[in-house]
Amino acid sequence: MHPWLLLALALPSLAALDKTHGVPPSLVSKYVPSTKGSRQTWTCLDGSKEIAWSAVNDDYCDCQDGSDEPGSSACPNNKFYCRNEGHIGATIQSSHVNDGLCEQECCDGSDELPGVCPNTCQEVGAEYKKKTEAERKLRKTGSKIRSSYIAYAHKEKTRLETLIADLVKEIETREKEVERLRDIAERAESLSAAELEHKKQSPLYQSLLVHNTALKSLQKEHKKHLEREKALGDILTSLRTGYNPNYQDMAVLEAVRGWEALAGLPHINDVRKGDDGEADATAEKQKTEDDVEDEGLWNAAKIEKELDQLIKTDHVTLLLEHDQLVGPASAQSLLLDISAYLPDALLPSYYSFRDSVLSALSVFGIGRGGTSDTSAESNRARVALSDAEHSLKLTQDEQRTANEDLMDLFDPDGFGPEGEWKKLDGTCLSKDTGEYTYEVCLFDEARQILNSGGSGFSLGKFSSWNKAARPGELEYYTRQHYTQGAKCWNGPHRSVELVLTCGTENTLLTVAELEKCEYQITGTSPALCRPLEDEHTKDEL
Amino acid sequence: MRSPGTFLLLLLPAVLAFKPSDFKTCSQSGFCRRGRALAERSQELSSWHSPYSIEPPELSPHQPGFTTNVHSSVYPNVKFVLDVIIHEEGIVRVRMDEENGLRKRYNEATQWALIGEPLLSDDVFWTVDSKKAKAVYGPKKDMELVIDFNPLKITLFRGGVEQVVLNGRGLLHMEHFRTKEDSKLVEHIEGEGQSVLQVNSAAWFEGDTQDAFWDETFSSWTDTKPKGPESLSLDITFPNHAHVYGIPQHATNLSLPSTTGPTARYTDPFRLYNSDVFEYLADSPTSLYGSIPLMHAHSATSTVAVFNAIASETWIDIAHVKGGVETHWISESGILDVFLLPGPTPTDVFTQYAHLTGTAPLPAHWSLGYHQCRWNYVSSDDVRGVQDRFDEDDFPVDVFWLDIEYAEDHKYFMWNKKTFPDPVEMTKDVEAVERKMVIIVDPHLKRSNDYPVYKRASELEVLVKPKNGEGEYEGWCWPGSSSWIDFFHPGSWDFWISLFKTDTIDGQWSWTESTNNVGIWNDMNEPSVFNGPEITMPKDNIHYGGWEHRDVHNINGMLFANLTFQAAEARTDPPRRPFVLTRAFYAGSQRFGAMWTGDNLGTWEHMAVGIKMVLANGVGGMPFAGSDVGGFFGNPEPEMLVRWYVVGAFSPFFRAHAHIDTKRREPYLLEEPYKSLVRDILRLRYSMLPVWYTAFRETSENGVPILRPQYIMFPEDEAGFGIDDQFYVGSSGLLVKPVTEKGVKEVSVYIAEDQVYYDYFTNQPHRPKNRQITLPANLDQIPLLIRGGSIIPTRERPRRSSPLMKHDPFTLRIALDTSGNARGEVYLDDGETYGYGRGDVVWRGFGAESTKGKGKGTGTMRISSVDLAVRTQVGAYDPKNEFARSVGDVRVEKLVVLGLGKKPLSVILEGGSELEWEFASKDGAGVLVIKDPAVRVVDDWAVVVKLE
Repeated sequence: MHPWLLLALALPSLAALDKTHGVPPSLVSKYVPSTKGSRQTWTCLDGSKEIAWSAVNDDYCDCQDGSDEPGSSACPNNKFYCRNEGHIGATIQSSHVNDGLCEQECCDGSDELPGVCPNTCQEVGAEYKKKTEAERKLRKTGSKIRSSYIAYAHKEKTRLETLIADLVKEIETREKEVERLRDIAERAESLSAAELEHKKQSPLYQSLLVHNTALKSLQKEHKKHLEREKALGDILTSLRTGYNPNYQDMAVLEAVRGWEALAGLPHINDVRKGDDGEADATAEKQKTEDDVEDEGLWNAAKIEKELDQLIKTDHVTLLLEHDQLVGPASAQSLLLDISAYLPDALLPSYYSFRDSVLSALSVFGIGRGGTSDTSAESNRARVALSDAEHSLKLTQDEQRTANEDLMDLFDPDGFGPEGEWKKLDGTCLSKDTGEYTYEVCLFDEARQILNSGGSGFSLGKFSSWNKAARPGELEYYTRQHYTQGAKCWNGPHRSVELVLTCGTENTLLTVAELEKCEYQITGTSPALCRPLEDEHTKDEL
Repeated sequence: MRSPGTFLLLLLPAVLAFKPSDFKTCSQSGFCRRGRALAERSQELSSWHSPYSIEPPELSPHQPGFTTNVHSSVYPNVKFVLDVIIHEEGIVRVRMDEENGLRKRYNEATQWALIGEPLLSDDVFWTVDSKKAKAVYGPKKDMELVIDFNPLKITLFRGGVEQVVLNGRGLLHMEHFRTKEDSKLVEHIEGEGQSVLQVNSAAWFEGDTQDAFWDETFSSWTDTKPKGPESLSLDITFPNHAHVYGIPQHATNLSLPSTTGPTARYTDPFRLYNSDVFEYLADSPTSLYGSIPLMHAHSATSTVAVFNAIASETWIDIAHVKGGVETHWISESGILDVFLLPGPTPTDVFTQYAHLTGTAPLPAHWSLGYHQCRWNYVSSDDVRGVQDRFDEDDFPVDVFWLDIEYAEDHKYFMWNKKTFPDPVEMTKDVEAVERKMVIIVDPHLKRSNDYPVYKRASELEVLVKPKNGEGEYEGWCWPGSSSWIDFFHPGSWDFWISLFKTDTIDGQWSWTESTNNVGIWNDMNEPSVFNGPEITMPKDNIHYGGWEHRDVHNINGMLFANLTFQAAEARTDPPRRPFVLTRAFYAGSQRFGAMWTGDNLGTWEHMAVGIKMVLANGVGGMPFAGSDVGGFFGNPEPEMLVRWYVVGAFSPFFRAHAHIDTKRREPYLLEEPYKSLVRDILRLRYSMLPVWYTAFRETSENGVPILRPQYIMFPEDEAGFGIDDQFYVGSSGLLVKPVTEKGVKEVSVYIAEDQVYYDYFTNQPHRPKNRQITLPANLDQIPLLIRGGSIIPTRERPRRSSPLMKHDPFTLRIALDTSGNARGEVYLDDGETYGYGRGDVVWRGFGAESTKGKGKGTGTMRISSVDLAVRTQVGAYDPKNEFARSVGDVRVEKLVVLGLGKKPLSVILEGGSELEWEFASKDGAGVLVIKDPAVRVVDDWAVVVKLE
């Protein structure tokens, strides 16, 4: 007798394993032998091969599809089912079977050889119940809040519907008014157009137009430069705060120092040391110096505030007013004097028309009765018309917005199928991570704000829900994407993936920059707490 | 790990990102200029001869060596001493130093590089005549060392053939210490007092300008060179050898090309000066992160090597000339201390070198698994999330790494609690599936008194000093203003070791927020100094003992890894095998862990040169090496990434790493089919861990590299000497040629012998035609062959991590050679402790032997397993040792016999019953699969296949 035979017998044998060990309930019926004469055989589930019944679960992979080894790790890419009696059955990868570790998923310990793992299904089951109970409680509280959001959406719906109805009426009224004023203005204009054309030939007026065009061009260029300056400033500020303060690259350091000198900022390393008080003072001083004005010239604030208004000046009105100022005081209004040229037969209807025009002009407070000349009057009529048109447009816009809001309200792609997110539209959540505060205004914009002061960055505007899921599914509302934020000086535009779960509060939990300038922010919201009944049937499975 | 200034990457083509202006060329380095000028003068002057001669030594015939005085005809008043010793195995050591000079040359390099004083040979016979001394030695008495007295020349002969010649070209020059005044005086007197023709008697040799003797400016940095000129020039010629290898680390061919003469590929010499090179070039002689001054010379009949134990900046010119290779070594400081390794085979040279500097110890087994790294996993939850994703997709992985951003303000050891609030819990979550974490600890310390490591080092006064020798040197690195521990200072050693303790001792700060399993990554230890000359320390900085940084620069990084290795080992009692990864290295660094090829680029060129660099590191005695899978910089396309995973899976050290600016590229993020391809590659690596571990055992014993290029495997096959894009894995018989080009559909593998090779995946046998085997190599195919005559042990069950494979059964692929025989082995131990030293091992030899039958074919074939440990007497080996008992349940579950001519009549377990088997044959190529012979790996057993 050779000694290794004895040893061979001593080998742990898996042949004693139940043939259905690791087989999910749905497949148990397939694990029965066929009898061929004295031999019991079994066919791989893919039908590729017939093997001895004893080769099933003998810890050797016979079948291409691995189906002969449901209870061992012999075949790669298999699934192993643990029954977990007293708890819920689970499926694990075959690579986790017989690896010496007791899998959490298999509380019955069936993933390892007998005796290795204790059966903890009772404790695990109890723990699981406790956990699900806590989750249910959370869901319950959360879903109550959620239903208040839904109620809000419904109220909002009513409000919007009422608003729209009101707006429809208002629009009707305003449309009529516009019609009426257009009629007046057209008539007035037909009288004054020729005279106005003549007046417009004034060199003063022509020069004014050229000045205006020049001013517009200057403003456009100015704005462009301001934007460029801001963009450059952002890049340099980002460089200043983001560069690694080593001096290997002198070009970077010089750029930082140069920007700090130009922008009156303290050196970033000094700030980091914490003695930035003095530096701030310097910056303040710099600012004051910049603001000293040349006498009579507009400063930046005034340009910002008043230039637009200046450019929008109504030059025709100005021209007419100028005429009144410099023209003969006794000049007759064409409108008032027109009767001289009219056949007598038309006079009565003319007078009644004139009265109505004048009274209309008086009503709008622009008519000056008998002292107005015809051009001025027609101009005033035009102003009144344009004001009325503007009001109409505002009302129409308001109606369109209200309509859109109403549509969005219960759009699965917008505020959710039940409008549960409407309440949170524009709600800002923030998370202080020490160096930065991250702020997400839902459905609007995400921002990163440096706590030590200075400018923040846009991390992106709301662009979509979870694209990997379909609108209406819960999964769809667990992610929001904010994209096209400020561009990284050395990378993409900043962006945020906001990952949300059900919770009783609207809050942000964690912030991580997983890749450069791509942030993942996690948080909770009651809007995600669907009522328990929704998935009740699922839980049962 | 990386260098700053990475924004260039996106703006410029990668090749432009390397900044040549950051690093010196030879013409910008004073002593290199002087060395090359010396070589040029020697060519121009027909009467050139070395000015150095020696006094004939007095010696008795059997002493191992001698010491004698050296004279220089250009400086007759300066004294030098030469020391020649023959050691065991015929290793010759030649030392030369200035005697009673103004100062002392650095002579401690071997103190750090060698494992001990080499033993003296007792087998030498000297004869001396008026012109030369000659030693005859060696078991065959075929070795001869001849020392010519005037001019001094040292020649090693084997069988009457010249192997190595020192100073044969008369370029030996040891610049003696002098004062600035002295040298001025010489100029003055000679300028006025002598005739015009005799301006300076040393000028014919040294040149007539004192080029960069006293200070030297590069870019904005001035090296004050307070010791003046002290460089060392030495020519080493390898007559009768056409190829030279080694002197890592350079991104170049394994067989080193010429740098001078008509065949020059580069204009500058190869440089050894540990440097943090940002986006290094994929084909260049510039120095990189590590330096091993060991060079092999090889021919079809001989291999020899030279180990030039010098620690200062060194430039090496190589010229392939008729009849051999000429090399010229120019070093900035230090004594001459050269070892000649006599060979005569590559294996002999490796063993000889290993006896000097030691071998790579058996690593922790888990460190041969897959390492997942990125700059940076940003939080403990990020780490957990990455681990979850690996498990969801069932990718095996052993190690998760943390780069510098875990540390608050880059104060290593100190966790950023905002992002890593629970470091120990996180580490334990990783360790729960028997995985490990490796965490970076760099050598620069933030100069901040709230940093206990800096504070204590400062109190102990063990920081590197600036040039005036007072206070602390301050430079810039990741944390901003930093200082560096001087690991040459013995006072730093216990302090550094104490830092890694996971429990507090004597109230001193230690890393209690870590576990005893944590591996350590030592990066930036060239050292990298962002605002220093050539991104490193000023050469006039002062280390312990008053040595200048210039004297010790190339050793400096090794000491850091050395101490970290000791520290990690000392965490537990009894100690366990630590894992340390280092970027900088020197001769001897193999004793302290693994290295990687630094900050490579995600390009095909870098993928290809990474293989050559790992091969060259193996030649340099440092086999535990790899390059970053995927390339550190850039975003590799999926095809490139898949191919790179193959390169990694066949590197001793297998780690994926990526720069902070790159997209995430963990394998689970790939689309199909790439994702499954990478999963298969990872699983292939894990299935072959027995092969890798067995190969590590062998290299830990004899120093022969794990990745073996053709010249090591087939030293007589000249056509293979230049091949460096394919290699064998240890002694296993696996031959792989990773694809490193885009769009490849097939490859040709060079085969040096008339032998059958089998495709690892299809089992198809191939016989080379014109020394080539052509294999399909689509993206889902790996050109991997088993050499006929090999037995490959694998563990084929996918697991989450390597320790979980401990009880998995083995499969043996038995690849018969043309005579129907094969052999192989597997080595196992607990993979963690030093129990193997006590014989806690399982080491099995597998054999397949065919015996002739009555007809012309094979009658029977016997496959057997025998105990190798008992034969070689490892420690106090007992076949029933503790480890063997712990794996007593491990079976051999499957035997796959490749190359069987015909279907067996029976397959029987010797002394047992008929086994289940299947035989399939296609085109006469038979594959026999024997199912579960029910034998244990720890036992002797045999299976007999009867064919007729």
